[in-house]
Amino acid sequence: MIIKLLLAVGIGVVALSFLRNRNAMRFQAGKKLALAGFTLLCLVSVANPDLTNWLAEQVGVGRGADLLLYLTVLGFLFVAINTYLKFKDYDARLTRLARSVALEEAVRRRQALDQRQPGQ
Amino acid sequence: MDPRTTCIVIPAYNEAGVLTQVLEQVLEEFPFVVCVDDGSSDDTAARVAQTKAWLVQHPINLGQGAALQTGISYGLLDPTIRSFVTFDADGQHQVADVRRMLDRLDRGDVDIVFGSRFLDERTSMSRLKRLVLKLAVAYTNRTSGVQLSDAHNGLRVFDRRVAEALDIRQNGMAHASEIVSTVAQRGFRYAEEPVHVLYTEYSRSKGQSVLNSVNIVFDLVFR
Repeated sequence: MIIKLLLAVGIGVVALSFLRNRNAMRFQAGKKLALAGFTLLCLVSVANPDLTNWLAEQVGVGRGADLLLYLTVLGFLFVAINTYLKFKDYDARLTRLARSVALEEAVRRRQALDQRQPGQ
Repeated sequence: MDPRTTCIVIPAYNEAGVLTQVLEQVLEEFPFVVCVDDGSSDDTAARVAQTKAWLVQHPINLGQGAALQTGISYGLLDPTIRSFVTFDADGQHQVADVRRMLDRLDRGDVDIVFGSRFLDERTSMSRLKRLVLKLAVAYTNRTSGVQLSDAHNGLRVFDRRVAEALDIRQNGMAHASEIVSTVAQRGFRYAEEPVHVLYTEYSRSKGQSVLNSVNIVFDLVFR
């Protein structure tokens, strides 16, 4: 079945793209284009439900609803990895911020101590 | 080596229980001790303030890797510091081992000395823990190209150049593998020294479960 191949390739592309070039500008743009394409597909399938059935038949899936489910799973995987990595990025920024706060405070405390006990 | 030029970095998260004792023991030989309180909710910070150790306090909990990097950055602010030691707060490491590892570093043919639990029979641990640690070190050796018998021990001694090169981004426990791969990438010379890790009731209750290795592998794959 064509759908098996398509889904396997889809999952591979999702996982690999995040492992490799997730910060590249092209990848960021690709995400937005995919989102735009997905929105368009939603609109079209609402306006013309038979279209998804036709598409499903072309790739060897029984019903259009099933095809949508498969695509949703793929989309969910994408969103899950994307969210995980986004949080990691925020974590890294938060760490830098917290570290500089901690160091600044520690240095200030040390200077205060040095002033109180000159010659130490 | 002059103990005054050594910076001992001790990350602590909710370690109020034994911390004073550990700090006092280290301070007996090494005057420059940095204890990084990693946003503890108990009175870890207050315990540190009672000793002569320097306190650096994370405003929020970030993880052991982040605490180590903060402590190292603090030590680097002092230009007289020539060597660094990472040491656990729960009392499982021995000051005598630190002394030996510093002597090893002092010979000048290596830049970093890793403490290993597997070079002699002194450290006792469960069979499962041994297996997981062995798998972990095999993974680290394979991915970084070094040859170590124990890569996930918190006891390390290294010189200032290594400290300057380190940029620990793995906030959690994957920082051990990260340090090894930095050493491999930058071509630092390394050696191992047998150390005795004492698993007390307390350190066992605080220590990580073997399941945490799943988190570590995940962190390393999606970095």
